[in-house]
Amino acid sequence: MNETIMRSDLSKARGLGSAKHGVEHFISHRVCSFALVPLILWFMYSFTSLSSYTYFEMINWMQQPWNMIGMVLLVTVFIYHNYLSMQLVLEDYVHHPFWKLMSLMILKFVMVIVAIFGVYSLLKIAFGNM
Amino acid sequence: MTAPSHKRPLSPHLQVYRPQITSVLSITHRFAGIANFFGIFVFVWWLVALATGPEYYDYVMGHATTLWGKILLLAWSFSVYYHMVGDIRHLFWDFGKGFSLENVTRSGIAMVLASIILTLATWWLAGMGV
Repeated sequence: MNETIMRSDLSKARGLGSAKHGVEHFISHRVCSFALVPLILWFMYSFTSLSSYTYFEMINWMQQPWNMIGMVLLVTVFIYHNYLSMQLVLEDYVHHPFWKLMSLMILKFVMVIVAIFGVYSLLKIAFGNM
Repeated sequence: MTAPSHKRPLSPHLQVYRPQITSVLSITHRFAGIANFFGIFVFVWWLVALATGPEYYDYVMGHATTLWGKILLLAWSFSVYYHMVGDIRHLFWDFGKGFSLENVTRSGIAMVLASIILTLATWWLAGMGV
């Protein structure tokens, strides 16, 4: 017996296309790389003198408002840019649908947790009793 | 996957091509990005150590100043610079600039040289304790 297919070709194709977030991902990724150039150069240049600092000199440097703002920006923008990059890598190489979904979800959790650890530590240095 | 209805020639796989500066820089750009992902954990660990207190900070810096710690930090700073300079190259491409074969080769060589110079300059300045 022939099965009568009631679904149109269009209805079968719907929902299989892009997630409509590609452009946002692409642009965020590039805006972050643009922002990271001065942040990285600033941090690396600061690091050249920081490497000889003692613990308390380092804390003192971090507690300067501009340094603290730069550090929070560096940590958040770096991690967000890297999250978007690693998402691309996983989407490219993890083909199994279940593991693709799982690895993307784990990546998101890990990145958010690491970002919170970083920002919390910085805020503790800024406002805590160091 | 449904079987293809016609036997069409497949495009040759990546491995059949001789490595070229374009393809080698492309994949190493991605490797550097993945290395930076692991570097984030070390960087945030350092921030957590700073926020925790001088004893734990000294313990972490004790690891960082071993030979292996220094090699990792050197590799990571190179990988950050390499990916940063590579992303600047990508930003020009995103605006449609520098696509000619001659320019791609030239910017590729410039990218490698710039990242090596930035890394050496950073560690040289750090060593001088400026």
